[in-house]
Amino acid sequence: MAMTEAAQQFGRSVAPPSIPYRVLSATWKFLRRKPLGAFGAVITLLLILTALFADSIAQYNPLEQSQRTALIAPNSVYWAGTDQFGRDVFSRLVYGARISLFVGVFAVMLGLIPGTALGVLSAYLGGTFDYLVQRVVDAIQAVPGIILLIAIMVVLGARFPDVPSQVIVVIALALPNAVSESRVLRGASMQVARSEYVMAARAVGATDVRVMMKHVLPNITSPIIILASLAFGQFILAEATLSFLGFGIQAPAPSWGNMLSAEGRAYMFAAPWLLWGPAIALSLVVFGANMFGDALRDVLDPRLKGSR
Amino acid sequence: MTRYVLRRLLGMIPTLLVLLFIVVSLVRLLPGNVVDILLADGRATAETKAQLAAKLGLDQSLPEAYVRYVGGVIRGDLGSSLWTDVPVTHMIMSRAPVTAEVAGIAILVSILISIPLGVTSAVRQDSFLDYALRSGSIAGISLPSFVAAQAIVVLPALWWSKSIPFQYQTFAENPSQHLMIILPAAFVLGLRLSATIARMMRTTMLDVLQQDYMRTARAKGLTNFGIIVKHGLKNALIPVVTLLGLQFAALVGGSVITESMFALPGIGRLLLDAITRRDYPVIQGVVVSVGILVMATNLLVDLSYGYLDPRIRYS
Repeated sequence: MAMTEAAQQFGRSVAPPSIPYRVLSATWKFLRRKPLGAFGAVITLLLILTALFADSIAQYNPLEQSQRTALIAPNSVYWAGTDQFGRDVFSRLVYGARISLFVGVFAVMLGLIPGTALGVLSAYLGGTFDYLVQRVVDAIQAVPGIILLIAIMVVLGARFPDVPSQVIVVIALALPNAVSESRVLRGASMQVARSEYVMAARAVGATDVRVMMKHVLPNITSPIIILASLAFGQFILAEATLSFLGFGIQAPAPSWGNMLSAEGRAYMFAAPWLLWGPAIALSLVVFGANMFGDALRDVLDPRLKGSR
Repeated sequence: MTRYVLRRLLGMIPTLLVLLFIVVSLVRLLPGNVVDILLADGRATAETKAQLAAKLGLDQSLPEAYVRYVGGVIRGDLGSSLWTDVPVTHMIMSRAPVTAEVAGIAILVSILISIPLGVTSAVRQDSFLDYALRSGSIAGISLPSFVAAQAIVVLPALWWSKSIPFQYQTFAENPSQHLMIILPAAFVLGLRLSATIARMMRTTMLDVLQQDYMRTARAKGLTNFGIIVKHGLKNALIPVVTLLGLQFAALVGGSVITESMFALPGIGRLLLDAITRRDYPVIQGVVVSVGILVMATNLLVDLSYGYLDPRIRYS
């Protein structure tokens, strides 16, 4: 009887709710509290699905050129029209989603691993190591992102001429970002390192490596997830910007940035659909990813607000 | 105060040294035959090759090249262009006014747009107007600046058959054409900034509106407008100034895009041209000088707190 009363007081049944129930209720709560974030999640999901099933969604080869089909306005056959080379814009948009997703996902993963390691190590080791790492972070953050990116792209592009541009872009995006992310994760790790359970673990003789892997790392997963989701949108935008300027994904690959680039501008006056398609796709995806990331941050860790 | 500034300036030195190390190492990452690639016509003599390698610092070990570069920076020497031998500092100085002008107008425009909008949004919290303004600013943040630039070039041509004259002229040469090209560029550059500031302004103003001194001012019988401007705005501006200062790096970065779109001869364009010509000392110089500028701005932002908020004292 006493048990039930206590349970009623906390408004939950005694048995822990099943995992599907918890996932569903968390999703529902997120939807109600963050409608814009949920909208962002839907857009991000659409991007992922489009990228994965590009082969079935696109009706045409995104690279196939034909003089006969050049610059056709959107119609029932070419939904988003065709470009100056006669390529179907809709199919290019669909395959462009694949490039965006590839760059976003791999740059996030490649950046987070060294970023996390660096952040946890700086927090844990402190001293000279931490001081040096923090100066590197300061130095990297003093240079505007796009300028640093272009410089890295140029050097890496010259060094590895045979590596596909998509891979170079991923590396160029991930490296400086890992350094910046390490500062946020350093802060989070320091908080954890001061907590009583870490002290307790040390008191019973846990090694540094064990404390870092078993106690610090699991307790900074929230900021890691948040950083990943925010970086995803930033990377997609950065790739498009680089490609737009001509330093990113090499033509004729259908990156959204390439589709908007200056060379296409001459045709945009006569064929504005060349502007609309990629502009809307890119803005929507960047908007969606940012809204989703922001909402996730508010829900998971409100203290991180303004860290960007 | 002087001691605080001195300490901060000294604190910048290690960061600068790290930045210079990154910049010097970047050139080392180039392929070993970079000199042969640069002198692609194959007629270059061994002497020309050696000269070029020396200019890139490739004739020395990394530590030697680093020390030499740092020494140059201390003397205000960032090396010279590989192809024209013009000192990099001269090139940057001659391009800086255009970038500064566009950035200055962009900041001005964004302040004029965002502060009234942010204050209105806060004063009329949760009204339809508030929602409309907030949605607008979210959209403004999400619109990539090169998309905005492309639209601002293409749309007037489509709708009114008017296009921007892509021939830069100085204000003295042709004031109207100068502005016709500078203003759209500044608008594109300031668009995202306006949206960011408007959001920040709304948040801080909402916070200030709930303070006790606001109630006191109201109790004294001051007009609503007077209260909001004199008591509210002044206090709400502090975080906004910080934000503005921190956006400086973003503005300089954004100038790469606007200057490429609008064919403006600024620092961003200088960087892009240097990259096309593989003029590595110029690329290094731009990265270093922009980095120093951003660090200096961050210091100025910190110092400005004292003027804006007399409660803050430096020690």
